[in-house]
Amino acid sequence: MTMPRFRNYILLGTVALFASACESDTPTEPSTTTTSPTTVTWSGIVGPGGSLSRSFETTQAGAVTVTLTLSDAALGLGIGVPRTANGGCRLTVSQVDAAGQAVSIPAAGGSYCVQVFDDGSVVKQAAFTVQIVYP
Amino acid sequence: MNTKRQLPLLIALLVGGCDDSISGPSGTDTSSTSTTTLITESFEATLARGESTFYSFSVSAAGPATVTLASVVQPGKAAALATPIQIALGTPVGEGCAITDSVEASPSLTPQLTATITSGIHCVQVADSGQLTGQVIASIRFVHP
Repeated sequence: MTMPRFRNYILLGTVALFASACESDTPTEPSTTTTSPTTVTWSGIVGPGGSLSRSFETTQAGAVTVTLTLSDAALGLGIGVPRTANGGCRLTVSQVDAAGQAVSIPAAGGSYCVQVFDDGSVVKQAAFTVQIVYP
Repeated sequence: MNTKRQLPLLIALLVGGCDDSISGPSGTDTSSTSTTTLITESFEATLARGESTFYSFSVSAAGPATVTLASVVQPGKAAALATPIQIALGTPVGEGCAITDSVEASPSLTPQLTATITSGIHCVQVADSGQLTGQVIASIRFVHP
């Protein structure tokens, strides 16, 4: 192999090296995953006169819907805002129902809560499962 | 020109062609930097027939404010009441709140009162509008600049 030809090979190799380095410069779109609406399943046990609440955050406006999917007794079910002190939930809407009933309300983005409570039907304790759907 | 002379030139051209920095439009940046941060606050008020109470807050810049009557319940009870209550925006005067905007609202999770307010000290008032028959706890959420 003569020296000029050898130099040409070096030149071609250099060009190929930089050309391959440029391939990775193509910008790619960030992957996006649609997560709205969010569905959460929540279970618990309520004693006589007791209540349980669960908070969640919504990042956009939309309907918040809560369904009592399973319950041992008629239970109170509502949607509201977290208390400013001492925990718990202050309800905006509520109803007392057996399993299968739902409560829904339009809401702006923010902090909200769901509360399940005994309204006098629970003798010993009642197990429940609730489905929460929010934007 | 021989190969030895061509090589640095080619490398310089290729390195320049690989510049992956993303530059914005040239010229003065005219994008708005005056976005106002909105603050969300909340409070609970115990009200009986004919009563009112207010909560004062400071506003750093003029802008939109919203007030939401989020909940009305009886003390010690979880169940929600649909009882309407007056909610209002105003400015503290003496020991009261001089109302500038008000509405009679039932509990909701979307704002029932919207107003544009100036910087300074303002107040949110909740009051019985004649519908209360006993004591209730009202939960108020408000957003301001």
